[in-house]
Parts: sequence; C-alpha cells; structure tokens
Amino acid sequence: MHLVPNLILLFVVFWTLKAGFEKTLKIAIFSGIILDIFYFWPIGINVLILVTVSFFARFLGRRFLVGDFFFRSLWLMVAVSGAVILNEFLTQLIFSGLAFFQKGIPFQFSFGWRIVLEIIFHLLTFAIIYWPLQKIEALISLYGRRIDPKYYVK
Amino acid sequence: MGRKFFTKRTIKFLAVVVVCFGLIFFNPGGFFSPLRALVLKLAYPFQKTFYLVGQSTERYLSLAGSFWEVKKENDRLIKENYFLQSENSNLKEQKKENELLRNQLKLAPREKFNLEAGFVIGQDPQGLGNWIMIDKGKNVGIQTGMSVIISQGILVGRVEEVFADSARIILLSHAESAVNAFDLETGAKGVLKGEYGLGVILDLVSQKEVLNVGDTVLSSGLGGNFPKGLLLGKIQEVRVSADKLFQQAVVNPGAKLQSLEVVFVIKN
Repeated sequence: MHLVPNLILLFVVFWTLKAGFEKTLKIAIFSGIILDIFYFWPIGINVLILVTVSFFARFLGRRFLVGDFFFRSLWLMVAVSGAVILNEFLTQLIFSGLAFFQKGIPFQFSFGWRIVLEIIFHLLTFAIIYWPLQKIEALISLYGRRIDPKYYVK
Repeated sequence: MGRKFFTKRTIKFLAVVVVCFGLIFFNPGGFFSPLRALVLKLAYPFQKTFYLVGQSTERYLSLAGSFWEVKKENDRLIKENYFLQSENSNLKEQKKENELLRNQLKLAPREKFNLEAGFVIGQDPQGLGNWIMIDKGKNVGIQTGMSVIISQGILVGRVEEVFADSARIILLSHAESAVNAFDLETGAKGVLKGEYGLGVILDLVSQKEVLNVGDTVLSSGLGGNFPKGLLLGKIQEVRVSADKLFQQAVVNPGAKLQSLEVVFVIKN
C-alpha cells in the first residue's frame, strides 16, 4: 500500500492550534493552490480541504494551549486524526460530486482499513516533525514580534 | 444571550468555501493552465531531483525492510530459473509461430515506432497511480494524445498535457482513460477503462462474446487513438455489468503502473 504523508495538512493543523484560524487562513489558501497545481486537480479542492480543516481544528486550539502534556498530546492526536478523516471525506465527496455532475456517475464512498493506516501513518509523521515545526514557529513568532511596530508601542 | 453564529471568522470561512466550490465546479477549462505551466517550469529542476532522491530513498528503505525475505526470494528465483531455462527452449519454437500470427493479426510492428524515451519525474501524490510526469515535452515533439508504452510494447497510458520540458501522462487506471481493446484468445471486443485509480476493467463486452480468466488483452486500434496490438494486460476476473447488458473483466495491467521509471512515447 502506497502511503504518502500530507505534510501541508499536518502543518496547517499545527499552525491552527498554535496561532488560530485567522492567521492560518492565508497560509491554507496559498498552500492549497500550490498543492492543487502539483496534484493536477481543479484549483480549489485542496484550498477547500485545508481551510475546512483549519476552521474545525481551531475548536481544539484553546484546549491545546492551556492543557498539560497529556492533554496537549491528546488534542494533537484528535486534531491530526480528524484532519486525516476530513481530508479523505472531502476529497471523496468532491471527486464523487465532479463525477456525478460531469458524467452522471453515482456517488461512491469507500472507507476501508486504509483510513486507519493513514491516521497511524500521519500520527507517526507528526510525532517526527513536531519538534522542527515548534522551532520554526518560535522563530517566526520571534521575527514577527521584532518587526511588528505595535510591539514597541508603550 | 446566545453566541452569534455568523461571526467574522465564520463569514470568512463560508466565503472561501463558496469561492472554492465555484472554482471547482464552474471553472472554465484551462483558466489556471498558464499559472500551472509557470509554476511547473519554475519547479522543474527541483522536482526532478526531489523525485529521484525520493525514489532512491523508498527503494533503500524497502530493501532494508525486506532483508529477511531475501533468502526466501533467492530460493524461489533458483527454482524459477530452472523453469525458465526449460521454457526458453519452448519459446524459441513458439517465436516463429508468433511472428506468423502477428502477420495474420496485422499487429503494429513495434520496432517501427518512433519512440521518445522519458524518465518519470513525478507521479500522483495520492498514490493511486493515476498519472505520471516525464522529463520530455514540447521541445522534443511530444504532443497531447500520443500513446505511451514501456519497453516490451506494453501500453501504459497517453499524453494528457504537454509543457516545454515535461509532459503529464494519464495511465490506464485513470478514470478518463478508455482504450478500445480485444481478447487475443477469443477475439471478444470491448473498452478498457480506468476505475478511479483502483484498477482497470474491460467493459462493454457483448454477452455473446467469450472472456476467460488468463486471456491476454491487446489494444484493437479502433478509433485511431492507440496503435493496434499493444499489450494491455491479462484477465483476472470475469463478471456481468450492473445493468446485466454487458460482460466486464477485471484486467491485471501488463505493467506495474505505480512503479514506472522509464517510458516511451510513440511519436508517429
């Protein structure tokens, strides 16, 4: 079975939990367009998926930020699993929709063991990239503070 | 007082959703093609490098992961080698017979194809084996619609989009792929279709025709989109279509569509 980690999806989940929906929106739109270009999919599919994932992941954001280590890990796992399921669901929904509207092929959904493997695979990948992502986030937020004029307003 | 549902955040989200749905379902064909071509042109050198590095890494990891199976595989290969040696002698006899049959069937003479070799530099990231990218494009005369084979004359797909130095090929397993085909053993005619990356089926075969498991399926050349006589695969399973009007056969493609490395575009 060919499993490929969707790093952008994980990045969007991480960023939403850390910075919220509003700050992730532009990143999600831009990343989605780039993904659609490289996937050769109609422009908008990945944008829709990433923005939707970000919108729903934000509900866990506050819990994630104030939780202890156990709960932070738990919310991360819930967010990543939810994102993978949502990604799979929306991808199938959109492609089934396109097939239905363009060719009249009835809607088809298939959630087999693959989705469970996808979740496990993405959780493992997320565990590996979490630390580098945190470093990047710290660096960017530090940089943001330095250049933000409001930061210096007394 | 209840919470306001239509917050600024929700309105932004809904606006993005509406725009995306509009783009996905009502996008005029080719509207974003110039942008896609530009990005692919810029990314081309990196894409080639990253893809080749990725493939090497995957091969290395799979080798490391399957080291314990090597001995078992070796034993199997020794047995297979004995079998192949005996089969080889039989095949020499059959070669002459095959040449005769090819002439009778008027199959395309493979050696007369004007082939352009291309390295695979990208593939469907979803892993469904729907399409591949090769490192040859308009600059060497590749055009949309050209057939793509691998070395032994096995059809793998057709050119869907062409860029300056690259081309995208939709494989037989792609939902939009349709090849007129026939069963070499029984002569049954049908259309080989992709099933959304899940495999390929020989569809629209009349109930009067005969299909057998293990039969070879070749391109029939009808419609002129593909040359006649290219190997498509072998029949794995025979079934009746949902409307019970036609027969269908699940076809095992002649090539491993998910692990192609070099392909040949038929330019004539």
